[in-house]
Order: sequence, then C-alpha cells, then structure tokens
Amino acid sequence: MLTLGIAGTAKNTGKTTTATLVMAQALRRGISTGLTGIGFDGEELDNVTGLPKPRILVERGTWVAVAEGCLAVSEARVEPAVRSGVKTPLGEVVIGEVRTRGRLTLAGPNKRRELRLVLDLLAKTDCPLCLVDGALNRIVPMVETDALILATGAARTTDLDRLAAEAGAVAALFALPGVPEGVLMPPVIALGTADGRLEQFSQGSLLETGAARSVAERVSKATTAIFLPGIATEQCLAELIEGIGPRWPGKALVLASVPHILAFGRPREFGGLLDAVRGYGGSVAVYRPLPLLAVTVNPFHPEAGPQTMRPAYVDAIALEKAVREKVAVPVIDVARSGGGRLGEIVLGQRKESGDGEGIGG
Amino acid sequence: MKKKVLLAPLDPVHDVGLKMIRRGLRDAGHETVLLAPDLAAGEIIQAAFRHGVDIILVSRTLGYGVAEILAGFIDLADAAGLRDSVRIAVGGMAVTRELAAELGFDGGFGPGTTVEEATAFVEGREFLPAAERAVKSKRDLTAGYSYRFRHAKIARLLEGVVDGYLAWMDGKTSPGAARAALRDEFWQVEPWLAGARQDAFYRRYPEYCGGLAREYWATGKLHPKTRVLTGRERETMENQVRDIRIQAPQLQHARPGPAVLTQYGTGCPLMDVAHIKVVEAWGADGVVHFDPSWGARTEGLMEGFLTHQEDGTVITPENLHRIKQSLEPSTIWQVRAHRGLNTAETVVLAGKLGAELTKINIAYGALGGGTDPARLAVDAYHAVRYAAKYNLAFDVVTNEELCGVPAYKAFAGMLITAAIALRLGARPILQPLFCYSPEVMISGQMEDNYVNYNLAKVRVLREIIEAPVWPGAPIGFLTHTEDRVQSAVTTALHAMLAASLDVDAVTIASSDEAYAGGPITAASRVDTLRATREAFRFLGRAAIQPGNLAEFWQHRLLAGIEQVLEDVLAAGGFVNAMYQGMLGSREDGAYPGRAGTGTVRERDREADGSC
Repeated sequence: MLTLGIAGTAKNTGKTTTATLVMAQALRRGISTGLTGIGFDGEELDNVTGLPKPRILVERGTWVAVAEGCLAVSEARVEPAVRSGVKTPLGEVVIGEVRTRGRLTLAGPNKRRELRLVLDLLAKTDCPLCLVDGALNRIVPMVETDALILATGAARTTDLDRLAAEAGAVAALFALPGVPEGVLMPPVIALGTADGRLEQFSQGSLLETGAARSVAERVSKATTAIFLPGIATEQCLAELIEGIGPRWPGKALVLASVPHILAFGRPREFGGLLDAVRGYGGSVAVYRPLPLLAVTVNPFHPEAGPQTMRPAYVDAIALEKAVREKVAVPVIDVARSGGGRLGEIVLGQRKESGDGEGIGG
Repeated sequence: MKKKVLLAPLDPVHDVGLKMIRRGLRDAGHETVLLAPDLAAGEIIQAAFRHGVDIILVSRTLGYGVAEILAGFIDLADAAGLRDSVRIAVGGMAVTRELAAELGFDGGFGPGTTVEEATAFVEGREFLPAAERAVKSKRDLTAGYSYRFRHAKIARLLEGVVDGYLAWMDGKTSPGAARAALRDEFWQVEPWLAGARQDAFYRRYPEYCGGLAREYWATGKLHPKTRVLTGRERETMENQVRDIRIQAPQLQHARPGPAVLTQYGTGCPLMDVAHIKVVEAWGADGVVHFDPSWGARTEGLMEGFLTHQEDGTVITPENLHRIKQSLEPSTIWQVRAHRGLNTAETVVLAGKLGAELTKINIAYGALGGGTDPARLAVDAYHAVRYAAKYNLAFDVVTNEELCGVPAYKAFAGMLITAAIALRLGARPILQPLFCYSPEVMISGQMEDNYVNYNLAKVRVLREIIEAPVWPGAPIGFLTHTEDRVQSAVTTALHAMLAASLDVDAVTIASSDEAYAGGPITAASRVDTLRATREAFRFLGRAAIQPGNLAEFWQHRLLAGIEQVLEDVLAAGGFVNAMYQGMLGSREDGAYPGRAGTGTVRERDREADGSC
C-alpha cells in the first residue's frame, strides 16, 4: 500500500479538494482507496472564517479510518469493521468500509504514533492507495506516510513572491537525501563515529540556549554524524552549526525528517541554516525521507468584509507561474486543471514503485 | 494518581481561565506550573520537558490565523516526542471538540467549561457533564403542600360554596360524563395498542357523541380542517419518537424552581414532537398539549393520527400516545381539559396515557371558555374525581382575566374549583395570570411596573391557602410585541419575578407566539427558554423588592375575593352565581357559555354514567 499524505501550508489551501480529486482518479482506474485524516473535516462552514468549505465525498468500497463520532453525522454510510484503540476528542477511531456513497465527516488519528497504528490497520484492507488528509498547516504526523502532496495558496499569504519563495524552500528541504541503509536514529541526540559508536545526550531536542554548545563541544575528529531525533529552534541549530564551524567537513547532520524541520514553520530560515552546514563542508541528511510528489496551488483566500469574512482570489495564473519558478516538482492548480495530472503523478508513481509497497522505504 | 500539569497561556494576555483551572487542580491535589502569557511554542515545549509534566493545558482566544499557531504548537510537540507521554488540551473562546480534533489536540474546552471538566481530563477520566450525570428528574409540583387554609373566613365561605355545589350536583350527569365513564371502564391502553377490539367501549361510545364526532363514528368523516397523516409522515414521526433523545439541561440556577413549561400544539403531531424535542434540548421541564378551540365545543373525541389543524393539535389516543412516547423521562406532560364538553373524558384519556398534569377550571370554562355553566359544573365534578383517581394534579387557570374579568373575581372562581378539588381528593395548583390584563390597562395597577400587582396576586393566594402556585399561562401575557428580543426579555423578566417569589412552575410562550400570525417557529421557543435561563442565572437566590403598592393591591384582592364568595353564597350557590355574573359579568367581558346547554340530565336513567 502506498500512503499519500496531503499537507497544507495553512487552512484553506486546497487539501480536501486535492484529496477528493486523487480519489476520483483512483476510482477511474478501478483502484480502491483507503482514507483517513489527521484533523477534522466535514463542517459545512469553516470553524474560523464562517465561509463554506468543500466536503469530502467517498465512494462505496472506500475504506476509511474515522472517529466514531463522525459516523452518525456523515451522509456516507460506513460499516465499522475494526476498532483501533486510538482515542480522539470525537471518539475512538474505527476502520470501516463505505457501504453508501456520500459526504464524510472525517476526523482521524491526530498524532504521529497513532497515525502509524491506524495506517497499519488500513494496510490490512488491501487497498493499493491510502490517502491521509491533512489539517491546517500540520505536517508532523505525515512522517508516517510514504509520499506527500503539499497544498499551498493565497490563504497562506497573498504576497506571491513570498509564497513562492516559501514553497521553493519547502520543496528544497524535501529533496534532502536519506541516510545510508542500516543507519538507525537514536532516541536522543547523539554523536556517531564511522565504526558505529554513539555518544548519547540526555535530550532528544535542542530547545534551550547552551544545550547546543555542549553538543558542539563534544564533537571530535572521529565524529561522522550528529543525530537530532527531535526538534531544534533556529537559535539552537545556529549555535550547533557555528559551534562545530570549521570542523564540519566529513560530518553529517542527521535530522529526523523534513516535517520535523517544518514544524517550526520557517522553511526559508531553516534552509539557510542547512546551507551553512554545507558551506562549512558538512552534509545534511534526513532519517525518514518523504518524497514530495507535487505542489498544488489555490488562489482562494478569505478576506475580511465589512461584517464577515468573504471569499477572495489572487490571479490564479500568476500564482501558478510564481510557484512553478521556485519549485522543482510539478505545480498544479487543481481547481483549474482538474485531477488528471495529479492522477498521473500519484498513480504513475505507484507503478514505478512496482508492487505498491510504497516509495519511502 | 496525582499529575503534574503545565498551564500555558499561548495568548498575549488572557490567562484567567487557566488560573481558575489551576485552583481546581490544586484543590484536587495535582501539581501545577503556570507559565507567563505570550511565550513561544518552543519555550512551552521546553518548559514541559524541564518540569517533566504529564499534561499540558493551553489557552488561546481564537481568531483568524490562530488555528495555525495552535496547530503548529501541536506539531512541534509531536516532533519533539512529547506527545507519546503527555496529553495536551486547548481551551478558549470558540473552542469546540471538532476544532480540537482539527487542531490535533487530545481535548478541547470551550466557553462554559467547568473546572471539574478540566480536572477530569487531567485525571484521564471520562467527563460526564452535570446534565448527563445528574439525570434530570421529573418534578412533582404539588409535593410537600398541606393544602391547609390559612384564612379562616375564606375557608368557611368556600366550605359553604362547596357544600352547595355538591348538593346541586347530586344525581346529575351529562353525555360528557357518560363518555368519560365508558372510557374509564371499557377502554384500556394495552389492548388498544395491540389492536384488540374493545366492543364494550366502541359500540356504545357514538351514542353519547354529538355533531362532528357522531358523524365521524358513523361515516368516518373528519373535521373539515383535519386530515390523517400520510404513510411517510407516520414513518417520520415514528422515527423521531424512537430516535431523538435529548440530554436535558437545567434552566434553574441556585434555586430549585420554578419548573418551566412550554405549550405545544402546532396542529400536527409530527411537528409537535419536533418542537418538544427542541424545548427539551433547551431545558424545558414540561410541555402542555394545546388542542384546537373546536375541540371544546365538540361532544366526543375522534381517533387516528389527525393533523393539519391550525390552532392546536387534535386530541386523539394516537396523537397523545406518540407524543407521550417522544418525551424524555424527566419531562412533565400536561393535557388540558379545562373548558369544554370533553373535560372529563380528556382527563381519563390523559391519565391512561401517562400525563402528570391536566387543567380544570369551572368558572373560566363557563365564563371565558364558552361552555354552559351547568354542563361544565357537572363534567368538571367527574373530571376532578378522575384526576384524583389517575393521580393527575391540575392547574386551575384564570384566563377569564384576559376577557376583562378582574383578578379578584377570577381568583374567587379559582378558589372555588380548588376547594371542590380538595373535597374530592384531588391536587389543584393555583394559576394566577402574570399578565397585562384589560383590568390593569383600565385601572392602572401596572402603570408604574409589572412587579407589584403580579406579586400581590401570588401573595394573596398564599395568604389564603398553602398550595402550589404556577403563574401562567403564559407569563407575560399581553406584554409581548412583534419584536422577538422584546418578547424574550419580557418573558424572562416575568420568570425572574416568579423565581423571586419561589413559585412552583411557570408556563412561558415563544417569542413569536403573540404575533406569529401563523405557525410558531422552533427558534423563537429557544429565545424565551434561553432568556429565562439567563434570568434565573441573574437572580440566583437574590430577590426582587416590590414597591409600596404591592401590599395595597394584596389587601384589595383579598377584600374582593371575600366579597365575591359572600355574593356567590347569597346568589344561591356556585352555578347560579356563574349565570348571574358574580364571578365575571357581561360588563366585565364574561358571558356564560352556551355549548352543551340543556344536556345536563338526572342520573337515575343512566346509573353507569358517572364516576
């Protein structure tokens, strides 16, 4: 099973539309899909802006992993088959098959470890493709997927240059290489050597000033890898990078995953820091690479009206052009061009991966 | 197990909610760490690691762009590995469970969250809101009342009136009494539900009917404004009755009462069920069945799922049974029987189908309700005895005030009916109107305020007898306008006065009831329920201080009641007094009704036609 995450850079960037189109393309090819989500999707009106939202439509035969509380309020009739034990504010997540097509209210596992558990259960349904619908700008649980589509658009910012630069920085991060086979990520920050020895620290993340300095001080000639399984603030990361400084050549900074970097929400700044590592002659790798298949763009954004929010749009063509110039992967305005291209990318990718085991590892 | 809790205001300023929760958590023995407002997400996560906490409670007022901040916080916590061991909840304005799920939190607390709820989350217990935990129980509005007369002279006068009435009543019966007796003895709910023939009832019943009902039993022809529910409508209603269950919230605050009842009677039992479920969901403690005005003038009841009436829902066993089935166990159900030719039989039917309350008032039904005084005096005697038999308490409504009858006359009539009820072993509830009646419009009792006179009405009744009081019906009658906000406010203020007087119940109208010009909307029912709840919250155990004139009006009412009762005795008794205008004259606006005139008979011919 290929698990495909659909993450956004903000609310209203087109995650749901993208997911719906991918499912439609799969249906057209006779491929049954699984579906879950890391947030909540299904309200007629946005919780924050009050504007109408697209709803997820699921076909008969789709397998879904959804919080129990969603079943009664969904138009689609789902027959629950397996309980996951994963609890959400809307009840336990259950795995079930759609018996009657219709709109689905979708809330699923909202943390990384629980998404893993649910995806493992969905894998038993023999669906060749499983979609994970994102929520807002959340991305960390997507670490558990095999590949990603990133939705961005004017809802993130209407400054197209900034939007494109950010999308470019994100796409560049996703291009970071993985680690060689057999390399394992320790549970805490550690310094590794060529012969496999590890010097471990007590923390998994770098959040306090000073912590990075003590790691940098322990770096020796024999160090070949600096493992960072958690997160690091820009300041701590800068401290670590500068602390090692000219000693970087021959050493790799191994980060947990790109979503771990993106969790701080400043891809360009983090990208700049990683460039500094390379500038010193070091290298950067991620423990769990996550291929970015495409970036979808959405010209819609909510705008403050005299009394309520109202829908507004940036120039769709200018948006697509601006992002395409900065991003190496395909850029698609799904509302304008439909799902055909998206289908080719996603479902073509599945063919390339051979037996459908996924492309991430 | 005691927990360590990090309280993090992810907000520039607001941390009041967290401070309240901190107090509750400390009281429950948990350790808390309250962070300063406006820290960055990374700093909060850092603090969580440093303090080794089990739980993080984040507060944040929601606005556009804030959702992403909260989602970003959750992502960071997940990426930092915190979420494997720490549970995280968000609280703040506009936070719902759905939003918490969308943002990725383990829990979400919106406005109105109790400290107890937050504590339950911390302790990993499932929180059952008070409304669910303490299942709302059904109120007995008459519980604890001795019905002892406090005013000796009025007690004596009433005794004389009741003696006279019972002597007059001896040996009298009516077609209504005969139908009630048949219904009581030969019509049972279980066989009826099972579709069994109850020939002893159905064979004889039509002969005691008149007009419309007789034609119905002979030919099946319905009242011109009714039709039978279609199959589809039936199905929808059965589904509603079966599927819609409400966790009824509590309207009262600090004080135990008053119970709040609303009226229904859309004309369609299917719509009635929908309206009932709405009012239950917004906290109504009871509902009152309104039947169409022609029901009071029709000799006999019909059967079937009848709909399409315009001013009330037809009383049939089917309609009443399904409506009863739809009620939550805590909802008090009243079926009115007070004013017409089916009074006694309606009480029997209501009793057999499980109502707690009915409504009977001889004086009102005869003077404002259009029924011949002698006929109603006979039927009501049986009605009261059936009410006692089926354990139905009933309010003694004084709606003749709305015709223009002064309150003291209406109260005298109410007290006579109540005294008859007590003599026959029933439980009456006094129902003074909280209204802007023609009397006060003309005489000026409410020129300055609505408090003094309404308060005087309740106090004078309590000066006379220790009995439950249930202002109605609805409170604030004739103070509503076409403006829904105004109407909800005036209802709430009258409810507040009622609460201040510690009465047992009130009936409230919807905010569009007076001016709907057609069907009442469910939303307008919510208006007044919500407003009433707010009024109860506002008042708590405090009380409304009346002006000086309240006492004056109380004395005037008492003197008036005494005088009327003396006049009733002098006129040769209750029934004669109704014809002669002692309890409301033509000048006042009250006319003895004519429905059922000449139908009172001596009983010896129909020995089975009585209770």
